Amino acid sequence: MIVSFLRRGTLFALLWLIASEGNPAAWPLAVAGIAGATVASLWLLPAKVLPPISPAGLARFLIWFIRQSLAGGVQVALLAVQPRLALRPALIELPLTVPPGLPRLLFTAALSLMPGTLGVRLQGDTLLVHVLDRQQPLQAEELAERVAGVFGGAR
Amino acid sequence: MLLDALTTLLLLAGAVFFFAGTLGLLRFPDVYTRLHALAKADNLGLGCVLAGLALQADSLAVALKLLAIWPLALIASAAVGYSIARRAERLGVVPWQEQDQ
Amino acid sequence: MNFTSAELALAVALFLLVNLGAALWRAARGPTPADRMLAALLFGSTGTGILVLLAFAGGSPALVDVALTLALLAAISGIAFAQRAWLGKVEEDDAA
Repeated sequence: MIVSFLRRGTLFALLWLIASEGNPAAWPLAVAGIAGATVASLWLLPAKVLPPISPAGLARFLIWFIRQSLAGGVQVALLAVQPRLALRPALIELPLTVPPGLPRLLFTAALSLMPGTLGVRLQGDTLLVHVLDRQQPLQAEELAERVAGVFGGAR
Repeated sequence: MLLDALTTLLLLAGAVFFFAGTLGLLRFPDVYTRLHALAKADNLGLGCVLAGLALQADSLAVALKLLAIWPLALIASAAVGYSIARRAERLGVVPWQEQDQ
Repeated sequence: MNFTSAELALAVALFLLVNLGAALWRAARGPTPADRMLAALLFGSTGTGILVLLAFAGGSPALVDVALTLALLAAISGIAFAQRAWLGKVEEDDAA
């Protein structure tokens, strides 16, 4: 409890520092804001509910994800500027292996920003996915592994 | 000097990606494919613009503030994109299929 | 080439404004209600981009705060839209 209070407090203080550009003039407001944000975050998302997050896994995920989203943007940009539209779209059902809750949220959100895939409907343990090119291999398995890595799920 | 050149490059790249996103929005045949174009190309464009301007920032805090906008935009795109796609599916919008030649 | 970064930023901002106009025309035209919702995405990305570029070109740093707030609001409202679908178990009617 105290550890997560301090950890989140530090995070919010850092955000305040960035947003205020390090201006110390408004420090009473800063203290109130940081304390309020920390209490609210512990109330809305108690540490018990939050699955353990591995910092190394998160860092690895972010680096990989940024590369993927760059590739996704480049791919769709190329498709858009081509004289002939080369789309072969389809809706496919993807069985989900990641656990419900935050991991599944991260999986669905990330998949929509990756090359050629877009989450359409989450129902039960399947995700309906719209793909731009049905011949392009899905990267769902690798994404699932990396999401598991973020939440400390050692494989 | 080198920073200025990098900024120029990133701003121009950003403009190109935004343009591609708009082109996709105008050319792609249905709401699902248009969502792909907007969610991915526009976000990459924004990322390029933010990175280009962060290089010119007066302080580290301003640079970080600019870069902090990007994850927020990504979250918004993923969430709003999902909502739109789901709404389209619930409305019974059938995904476009290419014609066999 | 003889232009400053600020001039380039202004030019790109204007270019994005034209893009936003064209994209909004498409969003307004539809044809399905889902197409019209695309406008919500446009303000999050293109709108934010225009604001930060203008902040740099016009030298009014407060516009960066406006852009940050706009992005934050876009993220929060996006999550609010999607939350029930992502986290909820049942698909309730949301015909509104």
